Amino acid sequence: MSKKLLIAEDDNFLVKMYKMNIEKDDLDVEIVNDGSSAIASIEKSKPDILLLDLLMPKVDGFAVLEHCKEKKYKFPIIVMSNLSQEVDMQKCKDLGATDYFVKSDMDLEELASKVQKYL
Amino acid sequence: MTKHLYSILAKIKAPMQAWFSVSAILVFIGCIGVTSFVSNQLEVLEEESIQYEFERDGQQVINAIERRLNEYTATLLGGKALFNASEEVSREEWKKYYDTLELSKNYPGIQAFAYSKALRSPQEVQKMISKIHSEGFTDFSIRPNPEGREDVTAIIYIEPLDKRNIQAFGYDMYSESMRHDAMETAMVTGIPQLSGKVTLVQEIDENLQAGTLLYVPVYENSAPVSTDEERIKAHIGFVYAAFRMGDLLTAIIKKEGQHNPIHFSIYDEKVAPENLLYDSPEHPENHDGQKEISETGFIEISGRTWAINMHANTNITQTTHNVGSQIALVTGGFISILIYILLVMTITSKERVQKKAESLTKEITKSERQLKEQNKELTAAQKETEESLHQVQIQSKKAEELRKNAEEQKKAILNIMEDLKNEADNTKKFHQAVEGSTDPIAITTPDLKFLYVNPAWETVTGHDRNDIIGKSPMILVSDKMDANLFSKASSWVQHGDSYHSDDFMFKRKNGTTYNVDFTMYPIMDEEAPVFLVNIHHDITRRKREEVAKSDFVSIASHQLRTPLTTMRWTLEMFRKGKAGSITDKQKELMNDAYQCSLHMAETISSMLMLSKIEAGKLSPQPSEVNLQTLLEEVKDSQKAAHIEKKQEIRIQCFEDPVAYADPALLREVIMNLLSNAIKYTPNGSSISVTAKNQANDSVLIEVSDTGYGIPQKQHNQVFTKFFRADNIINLPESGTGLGLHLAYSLVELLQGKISFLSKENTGTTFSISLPIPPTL
Repeated sequence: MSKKLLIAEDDNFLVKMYKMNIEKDDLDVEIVNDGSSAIASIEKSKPDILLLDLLMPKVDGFAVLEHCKEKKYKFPIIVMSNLSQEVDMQKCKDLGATDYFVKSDMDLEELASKVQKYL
Repeated sequence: MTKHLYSILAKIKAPMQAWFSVSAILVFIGCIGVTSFVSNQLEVLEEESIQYEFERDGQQVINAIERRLNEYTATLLGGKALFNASEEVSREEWKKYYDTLELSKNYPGIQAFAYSKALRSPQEVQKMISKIHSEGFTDFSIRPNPEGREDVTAIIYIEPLDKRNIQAFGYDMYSESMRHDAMETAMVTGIPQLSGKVTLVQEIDENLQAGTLLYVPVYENSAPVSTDEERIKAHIGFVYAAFRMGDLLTAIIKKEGQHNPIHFSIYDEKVAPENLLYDSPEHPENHDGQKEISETGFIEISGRTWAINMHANTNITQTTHNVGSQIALVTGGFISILIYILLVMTITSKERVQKKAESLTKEITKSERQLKEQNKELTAAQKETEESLHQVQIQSKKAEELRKNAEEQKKAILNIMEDLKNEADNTKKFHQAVEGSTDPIAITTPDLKFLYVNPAWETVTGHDRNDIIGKSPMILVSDKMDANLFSKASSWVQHGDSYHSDDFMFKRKNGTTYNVDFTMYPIMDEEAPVFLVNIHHDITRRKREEVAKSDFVSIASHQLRTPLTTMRWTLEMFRKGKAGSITDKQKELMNDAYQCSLHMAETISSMLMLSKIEAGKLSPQPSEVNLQTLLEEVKDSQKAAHIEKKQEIRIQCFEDPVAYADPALLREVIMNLLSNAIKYTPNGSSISVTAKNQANDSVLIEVSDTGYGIPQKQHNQVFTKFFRADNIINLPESGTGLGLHLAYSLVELLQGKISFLSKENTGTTFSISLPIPPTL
């Protein structure tokens, strides 16, 4: 059974990048564009890993983290944001994020290896 | 009495020899002698009493003169204080001071109260003339013509500006030797100086009087004046008073309230006709042969001595003090005659007389008794006179002591008054400063009860001072701030330190809140605070701006990074061949673009961090950092770069060094230094990173390269923002110019020190020294 990777990202260019570089045969990648869709997807079927952007329309990444913390979900959540302030990182950690990356500071190769690590 | 005596004499029919009896005559002479002796003694006592009164009256005159001149000195010192209190004293201010003193009412006799300015160069002279012309005194000139004289002074303010004083306006007192001497002494010594005898330029009519001038030197405000040289250098002018001696003395004597019976003459320095300053008017009565008393006293006034020659005029010696001696003489003579007659009668005929003597004796006894009584009375009167004279002497001694005391007290009071005036001025200024402050200021007791609040405090908080005096400042605490901060502040200041915080959030009377920058400091008495001064400042706007700025930088960097991420990843795909095959040329160009995207990401991160440091938003969270681990991590993060350049990075740690710092910030610092070392060292060279403990409770981290080095002439700019060395500008390596500035700012934030040694084409070593708290 293939594993489910849920990506919540509102920037279409980045969505395209994720699709081109992360999609693999053994991976079921689902991409949503906002927080409320992410929550809906999670509630439909738990992902094995969640790549989460923070600044998204309607419901943001923090709210998704809160939701997962509340529901005590155990799947790893990797925050992928371009917010780099210590306060944001700390807030995510407090809300149960597994890891935090600043997108513009990392290469696709690194990203792929991180995803592999948490699968 | 005389009639009685005649009747007795008529009854005596004594023979001639009885009248010329030797014994009777001897007794008579003896009696007369005693009488004249007693009378003489009385006269001496009376004369002493007169001499005493004379001296007392003379001393009164001396005291009055001395007192008055001291008062003038005090008012001149006040004038000097006026110059010391402000940068410049205007004509109006001088007039105002003069008017306030009400000299003509309080201390009449002064001719002029003026200020003479020292003019040190022809330019200053010219400038002063133009200035006074511009004030409307178009006729003003300096007299005598100052040309050719080196030191010039000019009377520029003179009050009252009457027809006499207008003559002095512009007069250069240095041009006359007597004045010049006094002025120079005053200037050099710094103390008030009285001049010798002069004729004032104010003498414009026939009623010519001798004059004198009292000078008080004025010095530049802040200049030192402890030595003669310093005083000469700092001198700017003289506050002085001019006196017409006649007017002055008339005023002083008049002030004394009675016409002093003493005639006196005042001489400058010594009694000589040419030195005569003043001669009091003679009384019209002629001397009628009575003895005249005279004496000379001296007064020391402001560096000058006046000789005062006094003599009593006729009034004083005509008093009726000598009644006692006259009575003694008459009664004594009468008794002598009676005794003589009695003796004669006795000698003539014992029997004949016996009968008559019986009745006579009776009468004589009676008279004698009367005389005795009179004599007794006289003696008593004499005793009384002596006694009262003695009393007067004691009283006068006491009076003299009292006067001396009063004089000392007056001097002390004058000093205190001057101090008080200064202090009152200061207090007034401080009060005005506090009242006028636009920042709210409150003064509380050490246990936090309002004693005072200034108007700004009322305006800002909306509370009325009358409502809150005695209340606690806790009324200001809003629920958006830590309520314990006030008590924290007051315990902080207990030992004299001041407390400061910008975490306060006050609420106004109407309930609205505002951010506050709060300072509290104690006014200490010995060891404990007596008052606490609370100053607060509304920083709501600043806080809002800070938040807005921080938000802006944060959002802006996010928005820049998002498209950058796509660019970076796209370029990465091209470089790695994931977007299909491309030519080598295309690949090279894509590689350049990729490097630029990395550079841009770095710049954004650095700018974000710098803006946070500058906004004071970055507070280090120190913890123990194992440097071996940290350095390895940093090396690892730069792996791609140094492997590409085939460089060897050696990490050496001695004795397991541990730093106590914010790990994220320290990593940022070392990353910047290492990244620079890699960039600016040619391919294949070596780089070393070392860490070790130092003797002075600190750790030392060094990043050394063998690269291009920094040109000597740019060493002083290395840590400035956007610095790039001249010798690397044309290299393919890209740099932000922010790395070293950021490293410097971060090390400063970590309370460490950063320095470097560099030689062009040899290499650079950056050293960071971080303190280790003694508790570790």
